[in-house]
Amino acid sequence: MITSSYGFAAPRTAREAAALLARHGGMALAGGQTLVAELATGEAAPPFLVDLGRIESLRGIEPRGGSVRIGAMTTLAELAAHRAVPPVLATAARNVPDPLVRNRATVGGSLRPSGRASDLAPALLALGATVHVTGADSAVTLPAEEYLARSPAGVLSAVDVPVPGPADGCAVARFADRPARPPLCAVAVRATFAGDRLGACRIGVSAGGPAQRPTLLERSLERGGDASPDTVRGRCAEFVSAAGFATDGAASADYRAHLVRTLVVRAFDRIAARRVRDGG
Amino acid sequence: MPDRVLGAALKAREDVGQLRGQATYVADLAPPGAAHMAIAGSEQAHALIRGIDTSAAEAMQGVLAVVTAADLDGVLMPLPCIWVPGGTESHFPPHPYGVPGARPVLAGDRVRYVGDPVAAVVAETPEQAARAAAALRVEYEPLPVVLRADEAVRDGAPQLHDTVPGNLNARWTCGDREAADAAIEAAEVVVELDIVNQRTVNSPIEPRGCVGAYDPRTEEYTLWASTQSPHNHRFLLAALVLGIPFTKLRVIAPTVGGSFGTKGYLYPDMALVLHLAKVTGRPVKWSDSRRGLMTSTVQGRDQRQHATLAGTRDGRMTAVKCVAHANLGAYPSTIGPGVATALMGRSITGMYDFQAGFCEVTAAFTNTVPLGAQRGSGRAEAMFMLERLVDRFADEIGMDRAEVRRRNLVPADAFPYDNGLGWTYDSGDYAAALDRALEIAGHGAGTAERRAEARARGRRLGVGIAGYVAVCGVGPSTRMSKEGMLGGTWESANLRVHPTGEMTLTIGSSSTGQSHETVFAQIIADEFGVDPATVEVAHSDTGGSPYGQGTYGSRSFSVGGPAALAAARTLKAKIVRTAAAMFGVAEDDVVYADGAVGVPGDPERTKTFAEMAMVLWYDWDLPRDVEATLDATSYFDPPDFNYPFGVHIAEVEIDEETGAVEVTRYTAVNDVGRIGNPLVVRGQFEGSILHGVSQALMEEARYGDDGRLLDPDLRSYRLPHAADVPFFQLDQTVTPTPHNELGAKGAGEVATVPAAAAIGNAVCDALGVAHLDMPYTPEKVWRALAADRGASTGKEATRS
Ligand SMILES: Cc1cc2nc3c(=O)[nH]c(=O)nc-3n(C[C@H](O)[C@H](O)[C@H](O)COP(=O)(O)OP(=O)(O)OC[C@H]3O[C@@H](n4cnc5c(N)ncnc54)[C@H](O)[C@@H]3O)c2cc1C
Repeated sequence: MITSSYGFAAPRTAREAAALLARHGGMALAGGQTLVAELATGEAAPPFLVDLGRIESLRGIEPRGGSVRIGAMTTLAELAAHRAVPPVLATAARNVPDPLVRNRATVGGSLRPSGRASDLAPALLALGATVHVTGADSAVTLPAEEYLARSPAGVLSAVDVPVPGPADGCAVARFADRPARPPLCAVAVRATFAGDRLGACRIGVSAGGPAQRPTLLERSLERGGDASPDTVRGRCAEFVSAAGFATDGAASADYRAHLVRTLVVRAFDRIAARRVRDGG
Repeated sequence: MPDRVLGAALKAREDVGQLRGQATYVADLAPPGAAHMAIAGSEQAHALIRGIDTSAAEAMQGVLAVVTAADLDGVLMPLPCIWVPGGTESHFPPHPYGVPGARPVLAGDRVRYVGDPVAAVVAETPEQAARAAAALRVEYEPLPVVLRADEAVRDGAPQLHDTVPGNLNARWTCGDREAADAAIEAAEVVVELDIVNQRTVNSPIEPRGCVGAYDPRTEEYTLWASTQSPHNHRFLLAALVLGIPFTKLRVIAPTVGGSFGTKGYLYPDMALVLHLAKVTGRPVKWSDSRRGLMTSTVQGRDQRQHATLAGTRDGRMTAVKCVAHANLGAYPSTIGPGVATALMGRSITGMYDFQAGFCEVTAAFTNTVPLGAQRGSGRAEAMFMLERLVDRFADEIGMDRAEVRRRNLVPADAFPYDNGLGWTYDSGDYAAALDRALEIAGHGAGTAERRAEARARGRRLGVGIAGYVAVCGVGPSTRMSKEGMLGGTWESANLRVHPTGEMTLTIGSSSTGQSHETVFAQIIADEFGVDPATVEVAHSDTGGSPYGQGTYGSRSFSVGGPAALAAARTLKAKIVRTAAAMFGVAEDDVVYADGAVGVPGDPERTKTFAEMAMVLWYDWDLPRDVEATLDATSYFDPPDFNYPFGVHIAEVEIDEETGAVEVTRYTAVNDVGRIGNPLVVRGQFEGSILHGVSQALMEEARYGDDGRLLDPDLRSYRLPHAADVPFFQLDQTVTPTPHNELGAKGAGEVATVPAAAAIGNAVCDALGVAHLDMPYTPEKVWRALAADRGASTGKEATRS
C-alpha cells in the first residue's frame, strides 16, 4: 500500500517532464518495477511523480549508421526482441528472468542506481553507449559510465549504442543465487581482436551492494595479450580486487570480487568459443 | 484409471476458480460500510512503553477510532495458548481465566519484538488508517535484546515476562535418559553434531486478513478470516478472548490461499476487528501485506540441537540423543510450544529401531516473532538432525549409507512398534520404500559415473538419502489431552441428501489448498456409486455446520474422511432398511450396488439412489420407524495417530567456481496409506518437497542485533521460483493404517519432513564435510569449497 501523497502529471514531452521534475523535486515513473516497490515501503516518498508513459519521443528503436538509438521507455522485452539491437544487449535484456518484469521495466529505469546489480548496465557500458539527458532547458549527451557515476537530474531520453564490428567479440555473464532471481553480479565484455591478438577491451561490471554503481573496467587487457583463458584469468585477478566491492546482507565483498573474476572469464570463454565456432 | 471414484485422479474442482482469479479471499470482501483497520507495530525489539500519544492520529482525516492496550483492559482477554507440553518446568504468561496463556492483544507496558502490535486505528480507507497508525507517537525505553533460545536461558539474559523466570517456557523430555547415556557410554562408535535448524518465514501466497462485523440488534459478531480452524477460533475467541456467549460468534473462512500451518493460530487482529466493529458500528476490515506478514504471522523451525548417535562398528545404531533449544519467539503462540517440543522430540528415532532414545527440549522466549508450525513442523527438525547423524555414522564406520539405513530399519513384522519416545507406529514396510527409492534414483554404479562426469564439468555431485516417519492424523483426543492440548481433536461430517438425489456434505475441516471439495466428494460418491459432481462439499463456516477442529497435522483426509464415510454408511443403511420395507422383503434380501438399491435380478423392486432420496423426502407410506429424509452427522476420533513414512534421495551438483547448488534429481517414495486422489496427493508431495528444498537452499529469517528482520520483504528474503522446482521422480508404496476405515494416513505435509535432510546430506556429501548448516547459499558453499581447497593444498604442502 502506498500511503504517501504526491502530485502526479503525465506530460507529452520530455522537456515538460524535465521541467516538472525540476519544479517539484519529483521523480520520474517509467516501468515502475523499482519505484513502485520503493513507494510502497516508504523508501521513496517523492512529493511529485512524473509519468513518462505518454511521451512518444522516448519510445522506439532506430538504427543510425554505426549505432542504434534506443528510446528510454523501451521495455526490456522490446529490447530482447528487436533485430537492430546488438545481440549481446538483447541477451542482457533476456537474462532478466522474469517475463512480467521484462514487459514493464525500461532501459531508462535500468540505468538508475538501485543498490542491486543490473543485467543491462554492464552491456551498455561494454558497448560504449552514450546517454541523452533532457533537462528543463538544456540537453546533454554523456558516456554511459559518466551517467551511471553521477546520475544527473533530468529525463534520460535515449541511449545510443555503437554496433560492434566484425573484429569485436561480445558476451555477457551473470550469476544469481537462484536461477530465476536478479543477479548478484553481472558482467559484459567487448573485446576487439587484431587477428589472434586481443586488442582493446571494455568490461562492464555490476556487482550490487549499497552505493555500488555499475562500473567500466577499461584499462587492462589492452596491452595486446593473447586471448587464452589462462592469460585472461591472470589479468582478471590483477584488476578485480575486493577493494572495490561492497559487503551487505546479500554477499561479502570478497565473494563479489570472486564472482566478477569468474564471470569475466566466463564471458571471455564464451567469446572464444564463438570465435572458434565461427572460424574467426 | 481405477473404476472406483475414490482413488481416481480427478482434477480438483476448486482449482479453476482459483487459477482464474475468481475465488473470493478475505481481501476481496467488501461489506457495505466497511471501515479499515491498521495496526501499529513496535519499532523496538524490547522496550518499556512510557506513553503513547494518539492525539495526532485521532485528529487525522477519516479516522474513526484509535485503541491502545489501555482501552482493551477488561474488554479483550489475552490470546490463550492451547498446547502446553508440560515437562519438568513449564512457565507461561498469565491469562485471567486461569488457562496457561497468553499474549496480550495489544502490548501494554512492554513490547517484546519488532512488530509487536501496540495500537490499532480504524479509518474510512486503508491508506488513512495506515497514515494515522504511522502518526502515533510511542515513547519507548529500550531494553536489552535477546534473539537466541540458548542465550535467553543463560544467567543475566534480558527477561521478557515477569511470570517466566529465565525466559524458560518449558524444559521437556521424552525417552529414557539413563538408557541413552549408558548406550552412548558403552558404544564402539559415537558421532555428534551441533545443528542450527534455522528459522524461516512462513509464506503462504495469501497473507492473512480478517473482517469483523457486529449486529447490535442480535448482539452477534461475525468474523471472516483466512483461518484453517474456524470452529476452534470461534470457541477460543468467544469463550477466552471476547468473553461472549458461544452463540454470538460466527466464523467464516472464505477461500484461503495457502497456510502451511500459520492460519490455525489466533492473532491479535482477529480480536481487534471484532471489538472495533462494535466500537465503530461498522464492519472493520484488515488485510495484511507481504511485508506485514513477515512480522504478523508465526514463523517456523528455529532449533539449535546437540545431537548424538551411538552404534557398533558393524553398523548397528544403538542410541540417539538430542538436546535442543527451541526459540518460541516473544510469546507462546496458540500451539507453538507443543510443536517445538513433542512433535520434534518424540520423532527423533525416525525409521530406525534404536535400543534407546532420549530428547530434551528447552523452549525459551526471545525478542523475535512468535513461533508456530510450518509444514512438517517438529518432525522436519527431528529428521534433519537424525538423517544427518546417520550419514555421519556411516562415514565414521566406512559403511555404505544406504546399507547402514537398511540394517537399522524397523522391520515390517514389528508393527505396532513402540519407538520408546511416545509414538506407536501403526504400520509400514520401510525396507520396501528404501529399495524402491534406491532403484528409481539409480543408486550405486550409476552414481559413481555421474560423479566423475560432473567433476569433468567443474561440478561436484552429491547424493543424499533421508528416510522419515512423520506422525500425522491429529489425533486421538484423549491422547492429545495428555500431550497438553486443550481441546478435542476429532473431526466431523454432516451429509444431507436433497430430494433430487444431490447431496451436501458439510465438513468440519477447512481447505486451505488441499482440495477438500474434490476429495471428500469422491469419498461420498464412491460409497453411493454416484457421480461425484452431485456431491457439494461445504466447509469453513461455523453457521449451521457441525463442529469441527480444522485442518492441520495432515489430518483432514485421515480424520475427517472417516467421519464423512461413516455418515454415508449410516445413510446407506437407512436406504437399505427403507427399501426392504417398501419392497416387503427382509433387509438381508436387499442389496445396494452401483448407485441403486433392490432385490438382485428384480428390476421392479430396484430403485436408484436419487429415487430413494425422493421417497424419503416425501415420506409417503413409509414405516413409522423410518424418519423422513436422509441426513446424518458423524464424528470420528481416531484410536491413535497414523505414521506415514518414506525415503527421499536428492542428487545435487555444486558449481565449484560459484558455490551454486543445483538439485539435479529428486527421488521420493512416500507411503501415506490409501490415497483418495493421486493427482491431489502428488500436488501435495511436490509442494512439500519444494518447501523442504527451499529451507535447505535459500530461506532464513535473519535478525539483526537490534531484532529487526534483515530481509523484510521478498526483494531479499528468498522463496523458490518455478525455476527452483527440481526434476522429480516420485513413487509410492501403499501400507494402509489400521486406525481408520479409509486406510489413509496424512499426506499434506509429510514429504517436507525429509526433504531438507536429503538436500543437506547431498550437499555435505558433495563437499566432503561433516556438517554444514542450512541454508546452502552459494557464498556459504563457496567458502566451504575454499576451505576444502585450502586444506588440500595444505596437505600437499606437507607431503612435498
Ligand atoms: C521481480 C523483479 C525482478 C527483477 N530482476 C532483475 C534482473 O534479473 N536483472 C536486472 O537487471 N534487474 C532486475 N530487476 C530490476 C528491474 O530491471 C528494474 O526495476 C527496472 O529496470 C527499472 O526500470 P523501470 O522502467 O521499471 O523503472 P522505474 O521503477 O519506473 O524507475 C526506477 C528509477 O529510475 C528513474 N527513471 C526511470 N526512467 C527514467 C528516465 N527515463 N529518466 C530519468 N529517470 C528515470 C525513476 O525515477 C526511478 O528512480 C527486477 C525487478 C523486479 C521487480
